[in-house]
Amino acid sequence: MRGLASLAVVLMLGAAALWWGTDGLAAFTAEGARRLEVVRNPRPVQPVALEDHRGGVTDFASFAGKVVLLEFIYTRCPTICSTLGSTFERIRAEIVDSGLAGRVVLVTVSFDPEHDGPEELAQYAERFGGADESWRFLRPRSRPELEALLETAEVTVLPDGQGGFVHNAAIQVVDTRGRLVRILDATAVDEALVVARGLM
Amino acid sequence: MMRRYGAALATVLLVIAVVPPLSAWWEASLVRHLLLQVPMLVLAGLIFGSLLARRSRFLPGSGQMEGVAAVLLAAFCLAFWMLPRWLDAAVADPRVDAAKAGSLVLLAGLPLGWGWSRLRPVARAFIWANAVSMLAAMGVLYLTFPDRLCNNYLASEQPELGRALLGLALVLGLAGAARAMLDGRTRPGDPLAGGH
Repeated sequence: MRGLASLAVVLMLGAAALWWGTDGLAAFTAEGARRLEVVRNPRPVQPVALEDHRGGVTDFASFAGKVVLLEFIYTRCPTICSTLGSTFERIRAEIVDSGLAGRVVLVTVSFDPEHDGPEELAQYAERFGGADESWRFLRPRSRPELEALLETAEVTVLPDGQGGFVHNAAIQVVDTRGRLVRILDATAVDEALVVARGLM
Repeated sequence: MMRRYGAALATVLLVIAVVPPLSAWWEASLVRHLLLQVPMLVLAGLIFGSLLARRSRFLPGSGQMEGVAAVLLAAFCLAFWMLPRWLDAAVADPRVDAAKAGSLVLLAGLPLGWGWSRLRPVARAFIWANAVSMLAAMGVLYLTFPDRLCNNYLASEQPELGRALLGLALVLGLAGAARAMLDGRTRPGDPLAGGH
């Protein structure tokens, strides 16, 4: 009898722990958890100062009133950043075509500011048709500001041992009030447009 | 022997697994984290648990069913720390890491060591065979999974872990098979028997 009772208690506690630990079987990885968490609890993005490809300074807060699609990259990245870049290229084309420019802004932020200066950012922008008002290429001006941005977005950047970085690449969607509200796959062009329209 | 040196061995394992510079070194690699640090913590608890089981005064009168409950508790605890999300969190947050060490010793190793001694040979063989097939399944999963599972580990470490898990499954499978064969030869009536 005591055996059966303890078995039942263990079963219930164990199932409860796994349920809690996966947000109801919804998030098994840290990436899944961060995506779920921003939907449930949108979080404000810090109003950090960012330097653009011409050396000018922009405050993240200046994007208020627009929907921001935010990506984190480093310009030497040979792989996933280019994927994100072509996604943004297609989104920009759609935004311009449908007259949404001015209401949606694409923001590319380098997490390797030691290497990526204005010149590198400008060259990187050229690969995707160049920077303009609807697509900004920026770098944080200090380590603490970079760390704050990465922490808010829960982007983890690891050295890959060959001079590059490994990082979780995604489209971070920031609403018109400056809150991170969605995180989408790096190739989700259509979804990003639908979400952005829904936030206007 | 076990009684004399068991506690000392378990303490040494525990210290090696959690002392700060070493703990960071184990956790710097996915394979070392999952297949060296975690097993050391479980083994430390397991030794304490089996020492506890030898004291008849501890939970007297408990039998097979309590043993099953204890082993199931250990299985849940292990399953929790197999979630990529929590492995990631243990690397990123020292509080989660402390919870991991504590629970692997007290909620996985300890009940496993105590419960195992309560189990009859068929139950042991069943659990052993399940553990082997679970390790093999996890190995194939890590070997073939296309996406990166942990933000704190490189994608290239996943197939490494997959191969290591398959290797471990092979070793444990062969050990179980060898034991079953040898026991079968000495005690034909009880082919699944496992000694203490």
